[in-house]
Amino acid sequence: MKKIMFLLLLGIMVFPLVSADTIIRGTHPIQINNKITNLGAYSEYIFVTSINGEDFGPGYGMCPIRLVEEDGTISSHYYKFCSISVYAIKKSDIDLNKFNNGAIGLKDLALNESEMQEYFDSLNPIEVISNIEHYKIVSDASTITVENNEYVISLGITKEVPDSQHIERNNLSYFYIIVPLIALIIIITILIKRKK
Amino acid sequence: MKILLILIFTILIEFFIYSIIIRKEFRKLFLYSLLINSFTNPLANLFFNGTNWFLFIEIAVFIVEIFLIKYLLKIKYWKAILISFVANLITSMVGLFLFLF
Repeated sequence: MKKIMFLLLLGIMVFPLVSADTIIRGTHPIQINNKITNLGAYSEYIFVTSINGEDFGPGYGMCPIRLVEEDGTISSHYYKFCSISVYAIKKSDIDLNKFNNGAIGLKDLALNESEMQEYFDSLNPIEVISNIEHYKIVSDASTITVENNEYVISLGITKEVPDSQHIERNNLSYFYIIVPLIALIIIITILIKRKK
Repeated sequence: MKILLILIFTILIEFFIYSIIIRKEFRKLFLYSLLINSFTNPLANLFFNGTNWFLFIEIAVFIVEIFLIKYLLKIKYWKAILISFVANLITSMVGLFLFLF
């Protein structure tokens, strides 16, 4: 008995170390949809996504400036390490012809990184959403499949979190809740029947 | 569907451990392994999901299973602790293997 207790005590000390490792599980990216819902209120502006001035990340080479679509959809097609913000630019300050399929990169303007930054600054961009989430990985055990974020923007205010968020989940949610519930009901039934 | 695979492996492995220690009523042992793990395993995975409470959840499963094993298998506490510990230790390692490979 003493031996068992000793082994248990030893095991309890080792167990957390072993079990902690079991949580290192697979991960996968989920789809993130970002949308501005009141784009129509700013018809004299166009909106673009660009790396923000504080954190360049991989730079314009891998993170080009992209137009926000007319319906307010913000592109999530960015390299995962790009730190992206949304900016409003007066239509009169920018030549939309320079955009190639809704994007403008270093090659389009034949500029280097610092020249591109100067170019972007010359457009007098107004930051409306800071560090928008465009890439997210979740555990393989996660039930989240899609994250829909909606922003109501206002010039002069820099949003950092969405105004509303709708999360879509897969059928695993039922597995995680219904299976334990059924098991618990059966366990309780067995224990109650035994007492009778 | 890794989650289902993990659950099935957990049920079988814990049944095997119950059988080695209890050595009787194997059909009932299988049913209890099925019920106990169907209760704890999905919930544990749900709470692991995106949280940093790994250690807390692992220990919570270990403790909850002690009581379920004790009352379902009608055994003494020390035996239930032993079974829960061995079962969770082994299934954790199998879980780790399955997730990594």
